[in-house]
Amino acid sequence: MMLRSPIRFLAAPLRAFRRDIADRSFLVMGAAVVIAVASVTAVDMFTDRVRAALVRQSSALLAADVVVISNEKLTGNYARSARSFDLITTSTLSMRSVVTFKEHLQLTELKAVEDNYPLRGKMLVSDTPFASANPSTDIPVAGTAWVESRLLSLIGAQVGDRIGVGASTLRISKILVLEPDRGGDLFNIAPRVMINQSDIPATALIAPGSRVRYALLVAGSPSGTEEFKSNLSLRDGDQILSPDSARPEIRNALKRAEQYLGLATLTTILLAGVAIALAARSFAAQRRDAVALLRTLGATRRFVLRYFLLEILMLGLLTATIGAALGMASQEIIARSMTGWTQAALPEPSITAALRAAGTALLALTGFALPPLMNLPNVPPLRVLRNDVDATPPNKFGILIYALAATLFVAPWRADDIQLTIWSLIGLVVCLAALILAALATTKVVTQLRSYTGLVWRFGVANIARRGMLTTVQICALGLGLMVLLVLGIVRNDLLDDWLSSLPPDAPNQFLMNIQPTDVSSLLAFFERREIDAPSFYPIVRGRLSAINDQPITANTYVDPRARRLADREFNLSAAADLKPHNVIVEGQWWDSTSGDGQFSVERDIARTLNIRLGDTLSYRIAGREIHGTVTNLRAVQWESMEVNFFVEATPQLLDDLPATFITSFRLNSTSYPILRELVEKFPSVTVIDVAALVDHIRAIMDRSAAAIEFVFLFTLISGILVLIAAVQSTQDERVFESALLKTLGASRFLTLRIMGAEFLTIGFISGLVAGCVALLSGWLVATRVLEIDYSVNFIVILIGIVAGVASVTLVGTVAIMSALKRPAMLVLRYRD
Amino acid sequence: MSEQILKPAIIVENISKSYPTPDGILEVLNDINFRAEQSESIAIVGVSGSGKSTLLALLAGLDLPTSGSISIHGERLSDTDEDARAKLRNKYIGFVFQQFHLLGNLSALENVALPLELRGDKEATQHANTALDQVGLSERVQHFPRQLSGGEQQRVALARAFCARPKILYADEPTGNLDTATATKITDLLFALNEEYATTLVLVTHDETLAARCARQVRLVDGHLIDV
Repeated sequence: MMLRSPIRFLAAPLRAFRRDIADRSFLVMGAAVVIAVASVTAVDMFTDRVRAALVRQSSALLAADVVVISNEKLTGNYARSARSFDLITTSTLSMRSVVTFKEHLQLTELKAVEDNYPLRGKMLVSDTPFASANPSTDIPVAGTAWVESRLLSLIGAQVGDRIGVGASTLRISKILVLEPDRGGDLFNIAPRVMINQSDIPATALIAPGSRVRYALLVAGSPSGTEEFKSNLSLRDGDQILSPDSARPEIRNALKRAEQYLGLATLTTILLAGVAIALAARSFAAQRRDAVALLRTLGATRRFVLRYFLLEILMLGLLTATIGAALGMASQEIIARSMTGWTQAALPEPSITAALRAAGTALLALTGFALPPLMNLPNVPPLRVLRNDVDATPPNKFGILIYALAATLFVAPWRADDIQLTIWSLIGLVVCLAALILAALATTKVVTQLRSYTGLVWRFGVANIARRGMLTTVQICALGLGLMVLLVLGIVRNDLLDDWLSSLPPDAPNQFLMNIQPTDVSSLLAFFERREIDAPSFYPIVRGRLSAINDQPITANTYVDPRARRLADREFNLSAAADLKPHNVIVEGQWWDSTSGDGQFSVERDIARTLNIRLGDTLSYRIAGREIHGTVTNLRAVQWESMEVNFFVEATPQLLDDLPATFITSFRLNSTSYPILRELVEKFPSVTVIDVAALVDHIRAIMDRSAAAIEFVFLFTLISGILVLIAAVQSTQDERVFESALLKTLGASRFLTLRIMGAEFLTIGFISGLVAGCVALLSGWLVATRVLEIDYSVNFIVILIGIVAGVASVTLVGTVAIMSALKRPAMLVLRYRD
Repeated sequence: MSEQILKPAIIVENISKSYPTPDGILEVLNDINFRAEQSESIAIVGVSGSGKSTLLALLAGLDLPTSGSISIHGERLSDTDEDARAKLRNKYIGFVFQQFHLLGNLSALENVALPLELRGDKEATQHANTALDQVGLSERVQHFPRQLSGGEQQRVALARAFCARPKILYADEPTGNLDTATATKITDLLFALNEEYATTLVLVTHDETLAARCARQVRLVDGHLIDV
C-alpha cells in the first residue's frame, strides 16, 4: 500500500495545498469560490429571514395563526382541540347590518369581538375622524361601538352619539381605522362597525336564517398550530384559513425583489463557475509534467486523482468557510439597511440556511473544476521523455453536457423561479453560441488580414490565429463575463428604473368608489378648483359569473378556496376601449373597433384560479340580465402600480345600458388631507378608500430592495472580474515563453509589450462587441419575458461593451505579463525545458 | 531469494514498435532481443532519431511495444495495465533524465523523498537526507530546483534515483545538459553509486566517452540492436 494512515493519506495533498496557495490559478479558483459562496449565503440567509418575517406578517393579516370560519355557530370542539395543543383562542362574528342614526339608515359590515382579539397584529383607532391613528390593545367595552370615519360622514353622526344596531343602541366611543383581519379586498364598500360580543344578544340580530360568519381565531407555537391543523376534522361547510402571504401588491413587490436577487446570485455563481473552470484548466495544464513524473516514479492513476481532488477539496472547504463568513456578515449589512422592509421584525438568521447555501454552492462550484482535474491522471508517463505527448483531451461533447448539467444543478434552486431560470439559461446559450461563432469568424478573418499590417499587429494577430481553439475559449469566457457585467451594470439600471417607475412617487393613494354617473362632472370641477390633476373615471358594473361555456358556475364547482370565494361573490366588471398602462397582454389580442362587441379580457391569475381559457364564453348575471362574451385575451397586471385595475374588462358595447357606478384614483399629499373631509361632505354617496399607508409601504420595499440588489451585484461584479483574470491567465504560460523568445531574438521589452497588447486589444474588441450585442438582447428578454416590464433598447451599450472589453482585457493582460517581461529570458527558456 | 538473484534483470523478446504516420507505418524498432543481468551496466548508443529514447520508454514501461514482450526481474511489464506498470516501476526502477525533471514546487529533500513516500516508507525523509549527503548536497536540502545549478539539480536527481534502492536504473543522456567538468563529476558519482548498490544500469547516450565506461555497449541501427 502506498499511504496507510489517514494522516499520511492527507499529508501529500496538504503539502501540495500549502505550496500551491500562492499559485495564481489556485488563487483565482479560491477567490471565485469565496465570492460565489458569500453571495449565495448572503442572499439565501436574507431571503430566508424575510420569508419568516412575512409568515408572521401574514398571521397579522388574519389576526391569528389559523382561523376556522363557518356560516353556522361554531361548536366548542375546535376551541377545546386548540387548547389541548396549548394554543390561545378568541372568536368573532361578522355580518352585514343596517345602522340607524336619526333618520339615516346605513348598511355596515358589523364585527363583534371578545377579549384577546386580535391574537396577531394590532388595531388602529383614533378619537376623531380622519385623524392620525394609534394602536390599541383593547376592544370596545360593552354598550359602545367603534366605527369607521366614513360612517360618521354618511350618517352625519359624531363620536359620543348613540347609533341603533339592531334592537339596541350603542355609543360611538372611538374611530376604527384598521383591524388586522379586515380582509383581502381593499374595496369593501360598507363602512365597518366593531362592537363587543356581549352586546349581540341585546341587538337580536341573530335569528334563524341570518347570514353570519363565525370565526375562531387560534394562535400559538408553530408546532402547536401545525398539530392543531393536522388533527382538525372540519364540519361540512367549515373552512380553515392559514397565512397565505401578504397582500397581492406587497407579495408582487417582494417576489420581484427576490427575482432580481435570484438573477444576481445565479449570474454570480455561473460567472464564478466559468472562472473556476478556466483557472482549473490552467492549474491542470501546469501540472502535467509533475503528473508524468509522479507516474514515472510509480504513482497510480487513482493516487494522482485522489491527490488533486483532495487538494481541491481542501481549497474548497477553506474558501467556502471564508465565503460563508463573508456572506453572513454581508446579509447582516443588507438586513440592517432593510429595516422596516417587513412590518414584523426580521427573525434571527438561521445557521442552517447558511450551511445549506454554502454546501450546495461549494458542491456545484467544485463541479466546474472537475473535468480538467479528472483528466490529469491520464497524462502518460512517457511525457517525461517526450514533451509533445499529452493526455487525450476530454470529449468536447462530454464537457458541454457536463457544463450544462452543472449549470442545471445550480440554476433551479438558485433562481427559485422556473421561468427566470429558463430565460437566463436561454440567454446564456444564445450568448455562448454568438461568442463561439464570432470567435471562430474573427480568427479566420484576422488570419487573412495579418499580412497587410505592420510588425506589431502581424505578430499580435498571428498569436490569435495560432492559438485557435484557445482564443475561442478565451473570447467566450471574456465575452460572457463582459456580457453579464453589462447586463447588470447598465441594463440593470434600466430594469430597476423601469421597475421603480411602475410605482412612481406620484402613484395614486386615494380611491373614490360608488361615484354616480351624475356626480362625475361635479367631481371633476371639485378637483379642478383644488388644483388636483383631473383623474380618469372608470365604469364599474357589478355582476356574478354564472357560467363558463354554458356550464353553470357555483362555489361548489371549485375545490380551491379562493375560487370558491370568487364564484360566490359579485365581480367588479369594467368596460375599456384601450388597454390600460401597467397591463400587458400575455395571451390573445386586445380588441379594436372592428373586432366585435362581445369580448372579455381576464387577468391571468384569476383566469388560472377559475380555470378560464382563451376562447371560453363567459356569462354574467347583472341586474337580472344575462350577458355573454368570449375571452379574447389574458392580461398580466402590475397591481403594485396602485392604479385602478380590474380582473375582468369587457368591450364598451357589452356593458352598455347596464347600471354602472364609477371609480377613480388620485394622489393626495399628506398636507392636503382636509380635502378628504370636504369631499365626503360634498359627495356623501361617494366612498373614499385611503391606501396611502399601503402605497408608502410598497414604495419603501422597492427602494430598499433596489439598494439590496445593488449590494448583491457587487459580488457579481467581482465574479466578472475574476473571469477576465482567469481568461487572461489561461494563456499566461505561453505568453511568458513567447516574450522570452522574442527578447532572445532581439525584441525590446517595449516591442514585446506592444505585440502582446495588439493581441489583447483584438481579443477585447471582439469580446466587447459581441457581449454588448448579446447584453442588449438579454436585457430585452429578461425585461419582457420574465419581469414583464417595458424596456427601451439603448444601443450605447454596444459601444460601452467594446470600450470595456478593450480596456479591461488590455489592462488585466498587460499587468499579467509585466512580471514575465521583467524576468531574464534565459531563466524562462531554461525552466520551460 | 537466491533464485531471484539469478534471474536476469531485464529480458526483451522480439519487440517491435511502430507509429502510424500520414505516409504510412513508421517502423522505429524491429524485432529487438535483449537481456541484462543483475549489476550489469549497459550503454545504448545510436545517432539521433535511431529510437534510443523509444527503447528506453519501452524498457521502463512508459510505453508499450507493438509486439513482443518485456520482463523485469521475472515480472511481465508489457502485458499489464498502466497502474500495474507504475507499481513495478516504483518497486524496481529508478530514473535519471537529461532535463533532471525535478518538481519545481518541492525542495531538494522533498524531491528525493518522493518515490519513497509513494511507496509508503515512513522514514522517507531520513533516507532522503542520507542520499543528499551522499551526493554532497547536505547543505542544500531545503533549496528549491530554481535555486540550484544544473549540476546540483542532476545530483538531486541521482539522489532521488538511488534513494529508493532501485534494482534497475535507467539514465537518459544524464550529462547532456551539463558542461564537461560537471558532466565528469556526475558520471563519476553515477558509476560510484551504481557500484555501491549493485544496480543494473541502462544508459542511453550518444556520448561515446560516457558509453565507454559501461561494461557493455549496444548500438541501435535502423531499428535493430547490434552488440558493439
